[in-house]
Amino acid sequence: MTNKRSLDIREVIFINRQAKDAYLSLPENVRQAADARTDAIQNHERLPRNQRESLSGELSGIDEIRISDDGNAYRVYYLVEFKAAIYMLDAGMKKSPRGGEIPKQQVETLVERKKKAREHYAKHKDELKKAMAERLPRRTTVASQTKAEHPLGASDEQRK
Amino acid sequence: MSNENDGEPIRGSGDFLKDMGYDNPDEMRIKFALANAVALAIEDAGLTQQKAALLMGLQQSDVSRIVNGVVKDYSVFRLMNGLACLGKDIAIGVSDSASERGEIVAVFEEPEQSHAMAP
Repeated sequence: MTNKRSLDIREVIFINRQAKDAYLSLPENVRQAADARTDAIQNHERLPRNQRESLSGELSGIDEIRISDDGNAYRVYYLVEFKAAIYMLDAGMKKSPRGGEIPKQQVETLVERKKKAREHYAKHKDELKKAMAERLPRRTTVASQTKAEHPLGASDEQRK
Repeated sequence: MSNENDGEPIRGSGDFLKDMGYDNPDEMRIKFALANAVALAIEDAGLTQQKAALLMGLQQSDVSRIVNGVVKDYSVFRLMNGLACLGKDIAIGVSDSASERGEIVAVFEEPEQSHAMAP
């Protein structure tokens, strides 16, 4: 269960087995790059603009992460709208022919998984928040000893 | 390709990097945070990776790896040094911990609003 040594703000949840397998089977360097982005997103760090895009329309609430490796482009999608968790929705090599639009099939998958994630969060919100509350003091205590303004203890209000 | 019947969401432990199999998750968290700070410093200053490599005394391929977050094989100090070359101060502070076992964390000052908070 919750590891008290951990300093993560938001728990990372994979939306289903297939999404987790897709993430775990990214090529080694891409996987490490994806771990770096996941770590940043769950902990409210800013990312360079060319590495992350917040999607809109029917995909609103979802962030698209962009990774280039060896001439190939990869994408990872997360639902980031919740306080206590982010949901990894899908990952893989970019499929659209060039530039532009996310393929229709990908959009459909993301919409469906977003719905599933919202249902899951609604159902488990209380325990997810409780687990986060157990992790957070460890970050904020250390952080408050520096005089820095920082995003470590980001609250619901700030998220809004 | 129907694929939405393959199971329920898979929860994490609250320590993502540990879940992902890193045997030194606390160290990796710091490395990733430093690498991201390098990427942001380069972007904020409008530098090309080539120019950044010159400033940091690194090969461009190293800068590319760091910006991507592929930093498992870089030492924390090497990443801190790269960040210093880009005009950032890095301080190590030590203080008494509230708990028996202390924590090692990186804290970043962001002059502007974090983009995580953008609407």
